[in-house]
Amino acid sequence: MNASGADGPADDFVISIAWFGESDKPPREALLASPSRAATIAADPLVEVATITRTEFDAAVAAIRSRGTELRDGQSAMDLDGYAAVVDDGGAVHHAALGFDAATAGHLEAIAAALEPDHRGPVDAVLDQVRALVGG
Amino acid sequence: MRIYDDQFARNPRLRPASRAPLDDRVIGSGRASQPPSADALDPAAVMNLQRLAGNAAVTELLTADGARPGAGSRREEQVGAPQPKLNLGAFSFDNPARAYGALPDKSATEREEESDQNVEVGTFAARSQGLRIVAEANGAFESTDYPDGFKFTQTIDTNAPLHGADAPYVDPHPNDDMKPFYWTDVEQRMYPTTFKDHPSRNPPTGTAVTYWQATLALNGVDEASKSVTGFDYITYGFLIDAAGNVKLNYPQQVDGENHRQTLKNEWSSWTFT
Repeated sequence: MNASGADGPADDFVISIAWFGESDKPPREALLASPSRAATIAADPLVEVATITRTEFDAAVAAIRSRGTELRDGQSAMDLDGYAAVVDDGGAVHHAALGFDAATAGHLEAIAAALEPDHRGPVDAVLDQVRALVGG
Repeated sequence: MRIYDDQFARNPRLRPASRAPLDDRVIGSGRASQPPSADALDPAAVMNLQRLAGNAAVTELLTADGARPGAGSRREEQVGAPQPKLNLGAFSFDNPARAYGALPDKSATEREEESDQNVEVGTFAARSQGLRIVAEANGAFESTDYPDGFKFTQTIDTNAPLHGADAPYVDPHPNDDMKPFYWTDVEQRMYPTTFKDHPSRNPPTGTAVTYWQATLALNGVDEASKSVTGFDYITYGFLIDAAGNVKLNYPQQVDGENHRQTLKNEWSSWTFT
């Protein structure tokens, strides 16, 4: 069993860190994907993708848990009005609400720290936007 | 979730009754969706829409036959110099599980060689309670007058502004760089001729209706002199009521005067003509 609680295939996972709520210009989104998933993601100016290993994936999920945020079954509600990390491990989907306040930056920093330095760019891009809006 | 939404979208019998009229719209067919009730509209919202989009646009919103894509264009035929224009690739309820073809041209008077361009919708994340728009810059050209090429600006008027904005305001708010354009420089390099947006608002409480109305412009840009020359302007938007019903305000061309004024108000060191 993996860190997300699912027995997903070794190379079929993705963590999406995105805004769920009202928006004008869409906020930035981070995708931390396995190589097979990353290969299917279409280019989008507002979506940054990092291809990560299973070890990084498990570490990122553990980082989410370590912040006291609960991983719930299924997708996040669209009217959350906050950021959420959606963990898809071989089709088993869970989400953790990351909020939209100073603590959100702490959650994102923890996730970024779980990744190899070269793979932190997408999370850092979201982090920059969060800090600009709410500080932290 | 996407599958659930798609099942409802495709099968009217599965839809909640309150949402059925709006989901019935067939994109590109010219068949109008049901308009919101005029009684449900905040008079201030109606006035704002009239100021933004004109009386005709508001009338169209409130009448069942007024929501034709591309209707009401007042753009006159241009001759002579190249005229970059906005070409709408997709304008639809935002459901990533559905794909739409190109809409009819925004103006029946456009030259044939500038028509019938398609933009493929490429959506990754599900969105709801709003709309999705993809527009393509047509006819952009290289010119010493616009050494930085052509860029998009967008302004928003809404009775539900976000992040402390005072409507109307420049999108994005707060700004994500030091320039008035929709895309940052990095984003612009990825999408030099394409505009994409999928704004949303939560359903309002009570009987009020939330409106969201944008004006999108295609501009020739000289950043050294901070001059922005508008070539084409469209306005589009949506209304959402307490039940979550969305009424689209289909794109139509405008003169851009209010758009330029909003830009001037926030970017006084730049020139917008």
